[in-house]
Order: sequence, then structure tokens, then C-alpha cells
Amino acid sequence: MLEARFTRSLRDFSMEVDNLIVHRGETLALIGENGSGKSTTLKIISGLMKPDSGRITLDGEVLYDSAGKIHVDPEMRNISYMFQSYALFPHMTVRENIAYGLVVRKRPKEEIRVRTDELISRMGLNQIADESVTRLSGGQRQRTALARSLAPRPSLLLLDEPLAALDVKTQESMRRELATVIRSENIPCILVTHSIVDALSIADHVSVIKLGKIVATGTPEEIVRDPVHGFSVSENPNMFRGEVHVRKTGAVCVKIGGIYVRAVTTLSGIVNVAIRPEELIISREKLASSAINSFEGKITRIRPTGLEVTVYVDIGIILAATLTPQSVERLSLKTGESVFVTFKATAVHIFA
Amino acid sequence: MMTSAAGYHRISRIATRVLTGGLILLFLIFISVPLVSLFTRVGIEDLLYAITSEAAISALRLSAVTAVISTIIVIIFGTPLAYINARIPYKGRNIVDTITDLPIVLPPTVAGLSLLMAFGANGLLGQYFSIFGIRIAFTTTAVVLAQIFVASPFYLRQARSSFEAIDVEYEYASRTLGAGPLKTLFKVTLPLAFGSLLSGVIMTFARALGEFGATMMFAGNLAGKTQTMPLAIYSELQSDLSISVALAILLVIFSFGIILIVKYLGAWEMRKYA
Repeated sequence: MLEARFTRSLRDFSMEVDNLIVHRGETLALIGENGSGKSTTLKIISGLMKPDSGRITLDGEVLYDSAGKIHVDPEMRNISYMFQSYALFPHMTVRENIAYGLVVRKRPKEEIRVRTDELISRMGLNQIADESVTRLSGGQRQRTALARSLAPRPSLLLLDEPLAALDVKTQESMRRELATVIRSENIPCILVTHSIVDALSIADHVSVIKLGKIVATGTPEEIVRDPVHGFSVSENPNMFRGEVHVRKTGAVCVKIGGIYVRAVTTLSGIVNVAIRPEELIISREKLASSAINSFEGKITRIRPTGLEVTVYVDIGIILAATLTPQSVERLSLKTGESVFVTFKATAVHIFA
Repeated sequence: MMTSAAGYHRISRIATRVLTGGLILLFLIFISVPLVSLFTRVGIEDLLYAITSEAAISALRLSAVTAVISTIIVIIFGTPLAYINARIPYKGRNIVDTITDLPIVLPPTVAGLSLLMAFGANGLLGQYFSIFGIRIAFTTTAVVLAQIFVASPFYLRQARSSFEAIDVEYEYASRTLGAGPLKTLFKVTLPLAFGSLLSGVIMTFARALGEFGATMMFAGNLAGKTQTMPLAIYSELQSDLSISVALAILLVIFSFGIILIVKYLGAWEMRKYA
């Protein structure tokens, strides 16, 4: 188990992490915008950067303690760090890269060979094991880097934007592979990402980091539904300003542009409104459902975004809906066509 | 109207081509004619005779030995210094960089004179050496010191920029994989910097080999003791011109080889890690 609290002043802001905990065999996703302190957190935990104060322990062993003036060097921490750039040693082959952590630890030759071979075949790198890493594709680089990080059986694995360097198509397959490998190795892991999709598919817990502070922690589902922090990281396109109206019947509505949307809130006056694209249902016919908000509109744009397709519908305001490519095909959606958009009142998040 | 504009463009294009071509040609002639004329001066037999003469051999040997020693000393002391200056920001780093660069722009005679003032028998440091009966000026040691003084900046500059060119994440990765700073240096940083460092070594060696002014001032021109090839070229000019030319030709060939090696190394490095 990793427990960390530390402060560190940076050029633009101060890092103040109170309580970062990763349990045995658990994956924590650290999610936040660029420059929010994600990579700095990894550098501090790995020992590459010294915090100003605090205490970091891993499985009961003190790695850093400002009070006791303890700072364990990165090479003594047994924490593997996979860099966003992968930082594969360009003067070595795939095999030499993977074996590096074992070779510098002076493990017996036989053990190095067995462990390296195991990871090479596990990652499907057999064909290219003796190639120079400069000749690899993005996916092969990622696998080599992951194998190199895993080889010494670290007590903690740090992954800095492991999928960011890949093209969208490779990202999808590697995301699944990464999740499988991390789970089967049973090594606690901190994954830094700005993609909620990565966090959802890989992590057990998610911490949202903003300007050097962890502002929310929870399960991926909790964070996704968190009206404040969930949206800030997923960059919800359906963010509006609206005004709360209460009808004579007691129903609460928000007026956004020219339309009235049913919502649940205790706030009044001018508010922020967020509607998650995943919670919109697109249909050809008007749905008879429990969802109270139903609007007819024209599709203005259909945009593939990685795993999903974002469909923009003009219902007086433009709403973005996230669909699977299969759904888009099944409904044979095309730009300019008329569709119905349906969503629950609880899908409309109101905040000040 | 159209045709006249097009015609004007054609003329200006041709003019540009002729001008640049002429300029390049002029420069090539200016550099190569003097070098070629060295070769036309003596026949091959004279050349062989001159090169095997005692004066030439002794100068050659002395040059080779001193340049190798000074280059090795520069590598041993310069590599850690360059690494520190590339990686660790400390107070006064810019000042250190400026001072280490100074010998490049300093006239070699000034360098020689400064060395003499420092290490001469009555010099700032030399007086203490004298107490122990150690003489530095006008010895082979002085030749080496003069070469280090003028040639070290070439290595320091090149080494610093080659270390700076290596992404620090390679070192970080090595550290987190369990290698200490020293192991990281020998397993990751130095192998990655090797080609670039080697160009620096060759440039430094070449500069040390060609050292004249500072050696003349600080070490003197004593045959077999401090008379390196450049000094021998100068001395033999007054006695046996063919030896002078022969030594000069050797240095020209050597210099040309160095330029080729450095260029090749650079291209090789680029291809390897591109």
C-alpha cells in the first residue's frame, strides 16, 4: 500500500497532496488537465523529485519523510515509472531494454533470461525481440516499455499517459491490453491521464487533481457523475447557462436559450447546466419512456471520437450525444435528418 | 506585360545562380589553391626523404605523444565538468561556461604568455614549484599544458551540448529501473553521447596537434623536447624547406581526415537514433 502526503512549490502553483492512497493490487487513476501536477506527483513518488515536506511510505517502508530527513533514492524504491515518451533506450534492443532493470540489479543470468522471455512472449514481442527499439511501431514501443517496467516486479507501477503517444486506433486495443496486464500482474498502479475513458476502463479509483491539489476521489462511476469535477475532466460539450423556473405544478424547469428542460434542483436563478452526452438517447420515433425530456431536432454533425461517435443535434440549443458506432449504423443517422433526443430530469446537472 | 515580368524573373533567377555559383567557386579557389600548392612544391621522393629525416620524426613523435596526453587529460577532467554543466543548474554556471570558452577567442600568444606568468620559474604558481626544484616552463610538460589550455574548450563545448541533447528521461528511466547515478552514466548516458563525444575528442586532438603560439611562448622551440610539428614547420622553413612542406602536407592530410570523420560520425549518430 502506498500512502503519500507532500507539498512542493512549483513555478505556477503549489502542490499540496494530503492523502494519496493506493491499496495492494489496486489501480488509481490520477486525472487532470495539462499542468495540473499529475506528472509532478509521479516524479515525487518515484523519488526523481524531492518534495518540500511530507511523508511517503510504500508497504510500510518510509521512502520520504521531511521530519526524519529521509529521502530514498529512486533506484532503491523499486517503483517502476513508464514515461509518456516511453524513454526506451535507443542504443539497445527490445530484449536488452526489458532486461535492463534485472541486469542492473545483478540478478542471476538464468533468472534474467526466464523473466525476459516470459514478458516478451506475454507481450507478443517475439518477432522483434532482437530489433533495435528505434524501429518499432507505437504499439510495440508501448508494450516494450510496459514489459521493461514490469520485469523487476516493482512494488508500485507508475504510468504517465501510457496511451497518449499512440494513434486513436492503437489506443483502443492497448487500453484493453493494459487493463488486462495490470490486473493479472496484481501490482498497485498509479495511472496519470487526462482521458476519462482511460480511467473508466483501467482504474479502480479515480482522483481528480487540479492546480496541485486532489479535489475529488472516488470510483470511476462516482467521478463521472460528479457534477463539478467529473465534467471538468471530460470536457462536457453540453455546458450551458440557464435560469431555473418553477411551474405551478411544482415541476422544476431550466430555461436554456429558447427551450425548457425539466431538471431536479434546489437552486434558483441563473445556474450552470451540464448534460452528460452519454445520458442522451437518440431515436427515430418519439419514445414512450419514463424520461421526461424529449425534443425533436436536426442532426448538425456526426463526429467519430475514438471509441464512440458524437452526434450533435439542434433542438434550439445544440446537444452532443455519445453513441456507439453500431448505434449510428443501426439507426442510419445522417447529417440534416430529424431525430428525437430523450433524457431524464436527473441527467440534467445543475450547479451554481 | 506578363512576358516582361516573366522575363525579368528569369533574368534575376539566372543572375542569382551565377552570383552564388561564382561566390562559391571563388571561396573554394581561395582555400584550395594554397593547400594544393603545398603538394606541387615537392616530389614524392623528396617527401619520403623529408618525412624520415630526424627532425621530422622527432617532431612527429613529440606531437603525437603530447597531443594524445593532453587529449586524455581533457577527456578525464572535461567529461564530468561538461556533464555537471549540462545537467545541474548551479549558481555561476554561466560564468564557468564563459571562462571555459575564453581560450577559443584568446590569441594563442596571449594564452602562452599567461601560462608563462603563472607557471614560469618566478610565476604566480611557478615560484612554489621552483622551491621543490620543479620546472614547468620550457619543458614537454609545458607543451601539454599549452595544448590543454587552448584545446579543452572544444571538448567542453561539444561534450556539454551532447549531454544536453540526451533527454533526461532516459536517465530517469534508468534510475527508476534500479540503476544508480554512476551506473546510469556508464550504461545509458555515455553510450548515447558516445558518437558526439568522439567528435569532440577528435576536434580537441586536432586543435592540440596544431597548437603553435602558446607552445612557442610557454614551452619554447627546443628540438626533441618542445618542438612539435607546427613549430618544426616554422623552424625548418629557415633550414630545409622540404621538411617543412612535408610536415605541412602530413598535417593537411590529417586535418582533412578529421573533418571527414567528424562529418561521418555526425551523420551516423543522426541515422542511429532518428
